[in-house]
Amino acid sequence: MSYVNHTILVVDNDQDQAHFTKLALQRVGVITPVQSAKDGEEAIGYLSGRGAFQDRDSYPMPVLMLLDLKLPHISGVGLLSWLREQPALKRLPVVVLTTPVAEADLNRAYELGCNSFLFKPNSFNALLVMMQNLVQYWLGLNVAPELAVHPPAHEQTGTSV
Amino acid sequence: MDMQQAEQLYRLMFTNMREALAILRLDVRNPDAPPQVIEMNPAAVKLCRCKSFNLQDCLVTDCFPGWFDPDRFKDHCHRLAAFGGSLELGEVCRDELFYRIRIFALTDNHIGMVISDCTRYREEEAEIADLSAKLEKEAATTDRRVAERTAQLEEINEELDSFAFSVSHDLRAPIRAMQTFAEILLDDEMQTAAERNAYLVRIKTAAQGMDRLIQDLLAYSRVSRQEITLEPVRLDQVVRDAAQQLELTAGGKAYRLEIASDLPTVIGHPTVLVQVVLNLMTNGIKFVPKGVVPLLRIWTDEKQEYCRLYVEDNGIGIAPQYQERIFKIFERLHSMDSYPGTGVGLAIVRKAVHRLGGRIGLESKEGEGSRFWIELRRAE
Repeated sequence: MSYVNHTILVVDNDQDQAHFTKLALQRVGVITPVQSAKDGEEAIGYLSGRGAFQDRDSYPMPVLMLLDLKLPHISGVGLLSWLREQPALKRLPVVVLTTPVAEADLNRAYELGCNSFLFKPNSFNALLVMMQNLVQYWLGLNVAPELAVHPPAHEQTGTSV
Repeated sequence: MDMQQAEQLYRLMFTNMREALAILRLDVRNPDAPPQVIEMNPAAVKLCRCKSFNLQDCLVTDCFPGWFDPDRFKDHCHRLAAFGGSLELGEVCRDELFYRIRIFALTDNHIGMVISDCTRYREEEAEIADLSAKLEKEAATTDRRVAERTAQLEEINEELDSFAFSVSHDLRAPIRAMQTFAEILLDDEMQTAAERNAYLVRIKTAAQGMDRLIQDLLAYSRVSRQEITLEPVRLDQVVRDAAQQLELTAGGKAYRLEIASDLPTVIGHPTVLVQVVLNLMTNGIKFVPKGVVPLLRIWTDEKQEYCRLYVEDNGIGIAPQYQERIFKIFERLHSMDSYPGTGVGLAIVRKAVHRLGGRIGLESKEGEGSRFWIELRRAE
């Protein structure tokens, strides 16, 4: 099974870990280039299409974000909370893929609307198995939401009832 | 013992009692008549205000004027005479002394009255109350101290918990990287020679990073545990030593260093202070925008018994909301590829300064450089 037009955005500050995740995703059939951001700022830039990321042919909107919580500056939890407040982006499925964190962070991530929570496995083979399952479920079975690329005006300005 | 001797002894007893004793007589047929005093011992005579005590028709209200309400006293006496029993009439204050009065029935028309001086009891009671209050206060202080200590210990425990958590996280990251790279290299024949080489380089990098982290952790642990004897230390010497070490560790990186002359002598520990200043300097020349030559300025400022040593850089600065976070161990504001590091350096500095009994802080604006300061006690 291979997945085309399925851009995944990997947000991980550890370049080695990001590399493993990308490699594993490629191995389990993700043909669309896996995109990556090394920290919260870059991820926000990518998602909001700022600067070089305006070019949506090279940097397409992702259908899924894999998020490591251990990020410098803006934390993973901070990025998640930002994301869920963006009218155009808030529905983007987010799978937290992180090194072990305190339970409070785990719960906080769910409260802020992460769609799944995974701990990075120790071995590459385990990572392959995990990515196989993840891809089958999130790119295969799961029905993706519509992302409002150009948010309706009323959503942009915010409405009050 | 014959009656006569007994009589004599009773009388002696009555006469020599320290308590004031009086025998009152009631006219039972006339309930409105006030009781008369028919007998008093010398102690009672001393208290008696009636100038003409003649044992016959002296009214109790004349002998002890104002000691009690006459009507209620009379009623009490009549009731006791009729029904028996005894009654405490409470305390009376006379000439700064306190008395307790008790009356009781003797016959159906005689009442005994005992007036005892209770000033000493009162003083003792007050003393006891005082002591109890003191005890309670001390117990409260002890409770507070225990609570404070418990809170401190809880804080330390939490710190240790998060320390262990962070250590295991940051130490495991390179191990996992090495393991995974090795796994990919072993399992996979699809790799090109260049890829294999790149993986091996990354394994080496991870091992080096781990070594640096362990060294930093050891330095942190040394600073936390080492016996520190505070002594006068010349800041001139400290900054000179740190500058020398900086030159060795900077690895040929260009920077400029401006050190004020005549730095004072402070209370501290020489090697710990050199480490502190070196870490601040290393930090200062590290966090600069690409292409900018780092410029470090070092000077002091003396206020009363304290001295502040400033280390100012022309670096990228730190936004206010991160200024507290940077002193935490393993806290890193920047990604590895822009400014590599272990996140231990400033934690060492803060720990060391606290151990020297000093304070640390910074003034910084994003994009405008940072000015770190440490404050230590001046040597006399």
